[in-house]
Amino acid sequence: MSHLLLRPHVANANRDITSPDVLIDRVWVDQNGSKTYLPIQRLSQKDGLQMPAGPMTVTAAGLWTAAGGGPVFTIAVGLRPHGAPLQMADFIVSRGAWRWRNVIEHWSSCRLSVVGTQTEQFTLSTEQIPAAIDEPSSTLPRSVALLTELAERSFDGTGTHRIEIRLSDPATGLELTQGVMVHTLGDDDGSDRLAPRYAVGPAVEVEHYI
Amino acid sequence: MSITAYAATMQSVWFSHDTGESWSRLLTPTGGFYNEARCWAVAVHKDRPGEVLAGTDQGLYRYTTSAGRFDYVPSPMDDLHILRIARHPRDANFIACGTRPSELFISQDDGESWMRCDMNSCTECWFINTSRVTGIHFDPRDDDTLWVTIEIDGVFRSTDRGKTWTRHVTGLRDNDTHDLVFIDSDDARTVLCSTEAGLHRSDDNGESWHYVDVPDNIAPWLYWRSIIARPDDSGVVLASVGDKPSGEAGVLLISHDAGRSWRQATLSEPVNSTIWSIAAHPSNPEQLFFATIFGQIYRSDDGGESWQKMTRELGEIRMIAWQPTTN
Repeated sequence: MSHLLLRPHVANANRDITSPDVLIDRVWVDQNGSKTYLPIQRLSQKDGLQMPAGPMTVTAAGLWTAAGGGPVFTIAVGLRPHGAPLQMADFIVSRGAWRWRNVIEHWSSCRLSVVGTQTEQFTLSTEQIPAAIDEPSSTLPRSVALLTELAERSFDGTGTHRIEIRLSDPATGLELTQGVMVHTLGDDDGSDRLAPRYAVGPAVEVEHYI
Repeated sequence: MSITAYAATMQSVWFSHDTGESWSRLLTPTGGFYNEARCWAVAVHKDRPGEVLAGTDQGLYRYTTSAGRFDYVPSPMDDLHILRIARHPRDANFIACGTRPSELFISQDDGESWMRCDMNSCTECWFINTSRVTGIHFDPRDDDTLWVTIEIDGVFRSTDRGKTWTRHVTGLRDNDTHDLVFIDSDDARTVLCSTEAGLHRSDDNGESWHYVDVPDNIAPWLYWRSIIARPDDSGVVLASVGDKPSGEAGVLLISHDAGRSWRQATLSEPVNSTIWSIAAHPSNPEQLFFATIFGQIYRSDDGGESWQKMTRELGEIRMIAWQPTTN
């Protein structure tokens, strides 16, 4: 019964914000029209990920969430070891979000950037919109998120990196940004850190602590 | 009979062992959870003396007198706000918890395992963004039936222990529902529902609701919040009405005829905000407490006719409860 409590901040062109907390327990991944599933625990709203050293694949993904006021759209950064299937990726979902009906009509004019050691820009195509959500009135079942790959690039993952994806909508002037700090496993194994300290509060000897 | 009262506050759960005169809370090092944890719900059960379930922003906790602390109860609700807890009156192992977002989780094995109910309540609300559970009631007559009120989505009912649900809003002036009370007689049932737009009554088990017009000199505002039946089958019902949430003023109303007519109970001094919670226990129906959302506590020793404000205030109180003290 695992779930993710997604906490989007949904903005419109007037910069109004609404923040419905939505409980999600199913993630559908749309890959060229076929539906597979992603374990819900691979979705989070953290600010960083730890990854094995080595080549990685970064996925800039779109994510739609079922919500009572209409589907909510946002972006997510996916990371997985190069060559691993998409279902093995960890996705960090942006807190920023838009209402899908406010985006779909000018989807093709939106600009996607993936920022790592260099910046790559992508244009979006209506063919990338999953069939389940291809109309403003489309809806998803309750507690379901739909995720699809919008762009992908590889990079050599060693050390600590910041990866960021940005999606800008010239029609509204809004931009979604999601950055992720990527820490390579073993780069800092923690062995140089000091032992944890214990504070007693009042300056007295503590004879016993659980 | 000595009693222990409990107040769920934005700084943990407070205990009173002297009928509300003084209050204290467990210490963080030994109490089981951080004593500034936000707590919205406390629940006691007549068959589990000394035990208290607490709904917090850190999950569900269980206090027992023998342990003298709150112990964590694993559940799927750790990252949710647990706003309401109810236990089946005839089966203490049957626990229902309501959260923000408006989800209901039930356990029929005393918290060992949990099921997320498919209520299909709204997932989004313009006014409060995220809907939430405001009340959970096990039906006094039907062991398999649960009732839930949602802010802001109406009244939900399950007749199969939470497996399937139906929504009951016909006639409600507003779906911002807060609480329910059931008054059963041999051949009839009345259900009262408090909402932000007044009191509603159903004589057909929730199939339809009718607005109850309470005169302005009795209920000066429309924001009806907590409502309970005194646990003595007397037909006495107590209800709170405030100027708004959280509010700056409020009254406590009492009815001796199952909600047909009301009058204001006598308070030792005016309240500072809406009365958010009223507490009763079947072991002594005359002993009652209520708490305002902004921290005041009042006690009645005469079944709700008159109320005395306690000196101690506790900041922000979301629920109050009491039970006989056990050692």
